[in-house]
Amino acid sequence: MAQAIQIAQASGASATVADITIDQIVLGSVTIGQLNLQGAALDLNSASASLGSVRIVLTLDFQFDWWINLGFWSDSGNADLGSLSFALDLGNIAIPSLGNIPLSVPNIALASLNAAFAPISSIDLGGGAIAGISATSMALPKSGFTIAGLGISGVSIAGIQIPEATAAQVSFQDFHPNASVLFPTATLGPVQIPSAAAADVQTTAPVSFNGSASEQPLSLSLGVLGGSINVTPTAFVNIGSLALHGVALSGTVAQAILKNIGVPVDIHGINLNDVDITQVTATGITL
Amino acid sequence: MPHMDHAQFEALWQKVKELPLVRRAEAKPVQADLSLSGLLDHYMNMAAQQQTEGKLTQPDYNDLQAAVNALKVVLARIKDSELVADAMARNAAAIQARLARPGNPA
Repeated sequence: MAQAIQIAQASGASATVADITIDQIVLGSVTIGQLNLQGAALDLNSASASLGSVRIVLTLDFQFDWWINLGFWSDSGNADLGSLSFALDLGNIAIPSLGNIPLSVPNIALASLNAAFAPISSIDLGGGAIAGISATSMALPKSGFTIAGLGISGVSIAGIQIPEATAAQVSFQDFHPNASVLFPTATLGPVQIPSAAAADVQTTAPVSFNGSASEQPLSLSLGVLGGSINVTPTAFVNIGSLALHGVALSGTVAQAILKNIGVPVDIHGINLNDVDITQVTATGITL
Repeated sequence: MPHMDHAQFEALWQKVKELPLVRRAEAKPVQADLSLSGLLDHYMNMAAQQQTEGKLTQPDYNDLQAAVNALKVVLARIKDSELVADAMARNAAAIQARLARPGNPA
């Protein structure tokens, strides 16, 4: 007569697993402590631009440097000759074609990012070692055993040690798979940013800026006296509205470094094949 | 050069949109004593420097100094500084009158 023994709880000293398969690992929301992009080069392409209500105030500052040289006496100095400012109302300006605008960024550091990874399917960790095992609802021995010429019912045994067993449910304190888990699309080398079109770029407020040209001297020498008039032009520019049409952006990143990556993991469908548990200690045995 | 924001530009635009804005010169007059006495003082300073460098002998420098001193006595008597200042004022008035003629581009 084949008879199985029901055991309420058992524990084992150690076990080995020949092969471990996992149906699916679902990665939660990934947090990245810092993303460091090195050697970013971007090209901003815009097909055309339009400038509205362009006004310029052009200021000319005049400075006079003089000198006199009579041999036995000489002197020199400079004088502020004042300035002249006048208005230029250019109205609306259309720029039919713009060239590429290259942008070179040596280093970009972004902190506290969130990302989502796709689930990892069909994982084979190639076996591993397990320690500190506990199991419930075990059947011993794993293929049952036969008791001949003896009928027993309602027998309880306080404890027993059995060299090997199988279990319906197994939990373990430490699990060290032999193979590593690889994240999908973990690329850290040169990254090519594909060209991406964007909507028209429209400023929401007037744009003001100014710039000065280098000083332009007009020199005169009359032998014993002379001087130069220095003119410094400065342009104050105001653009009522600025629009870029047909904007596209493309570029490359030489290296991307991800630091302090945190990934919550849910593992589904773990199959442990050919589990051998040694030195099983069982309590609460019922025949 | 500080950046000019939109409000500052509008203020400047209102000032210049009708007529150019002119900021007058702030030059200070050059002070120089152009009387003969003053020029002789500069000349003797130069001569002393040349004598120190050995380009003018001591006897020649002494003769020059004596002649200048004698001339300056006469110049002081006729008040040459006032004569020169008066001549400069009259010349300046004549120049201003010439520049103010109709059709003169200046």
